[in-house]
Amino acid sequence: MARMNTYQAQLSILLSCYLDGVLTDEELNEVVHVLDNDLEAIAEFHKLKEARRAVRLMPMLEIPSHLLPRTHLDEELSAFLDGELSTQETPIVSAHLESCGECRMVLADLDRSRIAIRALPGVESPVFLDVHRETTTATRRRIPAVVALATGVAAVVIAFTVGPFASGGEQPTISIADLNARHAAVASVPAAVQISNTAP
Amino acid sequence: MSEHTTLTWEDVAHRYGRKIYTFAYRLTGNPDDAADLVQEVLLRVRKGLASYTPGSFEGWLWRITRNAFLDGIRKKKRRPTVPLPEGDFSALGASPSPDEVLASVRLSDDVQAALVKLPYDFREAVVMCDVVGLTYEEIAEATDVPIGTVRSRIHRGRSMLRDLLTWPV
Repeated sequence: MARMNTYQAQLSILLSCYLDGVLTDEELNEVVHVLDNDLEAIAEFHKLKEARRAVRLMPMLEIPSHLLPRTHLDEELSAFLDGELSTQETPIVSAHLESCGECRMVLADLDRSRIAIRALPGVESPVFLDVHRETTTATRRRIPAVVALATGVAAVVIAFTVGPFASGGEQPTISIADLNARHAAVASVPAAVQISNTAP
Repeated sequence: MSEHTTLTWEDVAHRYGRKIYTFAYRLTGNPDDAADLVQEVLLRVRKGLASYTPGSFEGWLWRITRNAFLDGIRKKKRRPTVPLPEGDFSALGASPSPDEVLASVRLSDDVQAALVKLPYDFREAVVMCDVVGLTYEEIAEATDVPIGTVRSRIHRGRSMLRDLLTWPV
């Protein structure tokens, strides 16, 4: 870079400031005059303009979402009900629930639908759908997926349709401490035992 | 701005987090350092909001951001934001065919690489002005220098970038 004399250096700063629109009237007049007459200054101006443009064209980056505070819980709520949170997640979710009424409401709704589904009775499969009916006991207990899905959907619809009327429109109340205890209890029960609870 | 008197740190995080992250990334070229800075700044904002007195919120926030950034550099003494010796810009743009130059020179990776080679004060001024969009006055407040110094730093930063990048003819 060739050394500039003081005037040139000062002029170069003014050209940069001109790009940002921060010149005084006097400075502006000087810059406009120079840009009308001085080819070197014009070349300098365009180079500065390109450098400025290049930086400004760089995209604004997306901030990684984990750096932002979470507003509300989502899938953690179901995992909390099912005792499926990690030991690190549980106290965080629990603390959030203590302070967030909105998430407690969602949790209560999820809990109601979870209970409704778990309370469904077992259904004996129709004979014509169960070709192995007589072969094993285990097979006899199996519920066809279509029937189970339809029954589950019906139960959820009933729960959400009748629920609010049955409770007189009251807001659900839910105890985080109870859920924490349940979380610990569910987490400690082997999966096989949980499944057997839903058997007829 | 009076609206800032009622901001929570979560509001600040959602409103300014992306800018702070971009600011840090453009200064360092390193996503981990940028993430560290965001966390540190939000922590300081959380502590500082209680004692924040209405004034230039942007100036306050970016002063915190800048101080956190500089503290981070001092603490970690990490890798290299050391500028090249004056006049030695051979590491950049040392290549090749005009077509390649035309195709690549303005890619943001190249500009990013050039940015991190600027001396810190110039880089900071250029990033605050051209990436974050602060006014000269806000930059002066955040960096605690006179506006004349801001003007000079921005200009010198741009001049060095101009020399670091190869412009198509």
